[in-house]
Amino acid sequence: MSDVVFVAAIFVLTAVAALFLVACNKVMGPDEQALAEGGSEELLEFPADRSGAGT
Amino acid sequence: MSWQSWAQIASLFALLAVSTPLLGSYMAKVYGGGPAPGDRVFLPVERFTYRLLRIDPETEQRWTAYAGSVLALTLAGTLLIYVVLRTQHALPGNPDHLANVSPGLSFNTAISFVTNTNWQNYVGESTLSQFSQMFGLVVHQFLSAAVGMALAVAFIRGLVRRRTTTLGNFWVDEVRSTLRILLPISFVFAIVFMGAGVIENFHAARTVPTVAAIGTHSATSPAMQQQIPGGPVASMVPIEMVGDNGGGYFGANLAHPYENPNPVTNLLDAWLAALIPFAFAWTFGKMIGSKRQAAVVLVVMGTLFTLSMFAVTALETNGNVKLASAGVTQTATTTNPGGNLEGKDLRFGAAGSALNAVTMTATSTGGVGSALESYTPLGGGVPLFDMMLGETIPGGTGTGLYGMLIFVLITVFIAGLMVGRTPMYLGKRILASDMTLAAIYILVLPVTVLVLAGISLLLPSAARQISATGPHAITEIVYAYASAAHNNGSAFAGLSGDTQWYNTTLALAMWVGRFFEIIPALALAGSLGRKRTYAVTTGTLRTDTPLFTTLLAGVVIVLVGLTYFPVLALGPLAEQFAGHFGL
Repeated sequence: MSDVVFVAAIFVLTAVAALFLVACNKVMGPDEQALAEGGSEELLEFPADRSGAGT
Repeated sequence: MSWQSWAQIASLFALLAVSTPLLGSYMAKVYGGGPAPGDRVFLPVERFTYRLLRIDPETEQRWTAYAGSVLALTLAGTLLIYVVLRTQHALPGNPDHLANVSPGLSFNTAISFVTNTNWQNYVGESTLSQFSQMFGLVVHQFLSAAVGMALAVAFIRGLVRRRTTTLGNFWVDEVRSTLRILLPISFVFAIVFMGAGVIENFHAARTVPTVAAIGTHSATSPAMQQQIPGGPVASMVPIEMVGDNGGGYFGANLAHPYENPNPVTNLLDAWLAALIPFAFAWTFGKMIGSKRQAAVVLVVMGTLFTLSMFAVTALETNGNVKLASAGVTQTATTTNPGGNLEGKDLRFGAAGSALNAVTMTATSTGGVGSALESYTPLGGGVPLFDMMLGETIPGGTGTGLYGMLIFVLITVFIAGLMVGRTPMYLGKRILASDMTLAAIYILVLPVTVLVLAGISLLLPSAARQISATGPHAITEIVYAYASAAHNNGSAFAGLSGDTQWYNTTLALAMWVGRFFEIIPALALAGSLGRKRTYAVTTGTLRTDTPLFTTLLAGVVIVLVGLTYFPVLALGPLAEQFAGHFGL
């Protein structure tokens, strides 16, 4: 096979990875919805690792 | 096991016990954003690099931009290596006047090195020029290792940050990983390796007369001459190891006396390979502010790594049943290190070879110091299983950490289902979309490995390239695709890989293993970074206890066992039992 085929294959593989990135982004869902999720906004601290806090 | 075996293993663990907290703490400062040791030296170089590459270090990236940057760097690197290999005859640094590399092999090698796999379908000293090795390969051994480190840091940021859509700047993480961690370690150890006997020169291969006839394989080849290769090897070995690359200068890799001359360098190689993966677990603890959470990760990584080490060392030092039945002496004497010595270098013996094999496969290094094909069936099966664990015990530079953290998220989810609690890790709720991404991450590799290995066994032209038959052939072919897809790069031996089929499909496996793992992992990090943290209540499942540690180790083994057990049963397990029953 010639250089053209292999160089084209490198671009195709990159394009497929980019499409996969878009698909994973869809799985994640939009940022706005996630950021609007409720929560207590507690600071995450591990005081001297005694309590296992934050877990 | 002999006292030498114990001493080698103890030395490795002692070195790791010292280096893990030291390097891990240093790395936490490098990635922490505040002042870090060496700022006076490194900051001016970093600023110059940013100006040169037009990078704004203050700009943060969403996970998609972060992943896109990784893709862009990889695309540029792949094309660069491909062009260098295809034109090496016309380029400088080719004292042996080696021809251009064929298109298929250039494609395979380019993808192999940008994905940090370093699978080598070629014999380095007789295929690649010194320029190709230094500029084409070594540069990407630094860059691809730094990619893994940057990704791990991005994943930690996703866990630590709250209500943000950014994970840092890939280019900054890449530059800092290379400049402040990989380069200094590689520089120091290049000198150490030169002192220990690894060669560093720019000579062409030299023809020398041998003391005695070395063989009469060909009527035209003089039996009293040998080609002694030269090359810049000592400067390549440290990044080959510390970057968990594994691609060596010579075809024989770590079995070559110019690359791995003695047991001391063999031990240093193992230490360097495991150095950053273990240190990253410590860095994780520092960055999230919890030693106990880091201890969970470290204990699971360390325990499975130790079990593998003892298993292979014991299996190989006890000898091979088939060699015993053939009347081969495998007992240690003053002139014989004992054990199963077929395919192993007498400088290292069975124990040193086992140390090397386990370290190179449990990390994603993939260096090869002995022929795994000649190991006992289970002795060769354990390194295969280590790779199948997703390169997490301790895995690659950074990739091992985020691989294990994804196992942690799965464990939290499973435990949550078992006890009826909302799955939560570090105060963040794990939702269905997170589990979808984690499931993609876990399933992509087994599907790639098993499908491609299955097709290769069915295709007569591909199956002809496998030297063995029966269960051993299954192990050979599964090992090749597992090594490629898990970005390990070690070879089991016995497979003639430089064919159109294997060059193409192994490259495909490497690419899938790299990006179809990186992308869901970064998406997961992005998802975690957007979340708020929730208050801990008495109903929250603790993830820093011995119980959870045990559960995590169980999940890692069971998940991999479920996906790979059938093929392991047909390969190494069937062969081991057949040997025991004299079949």
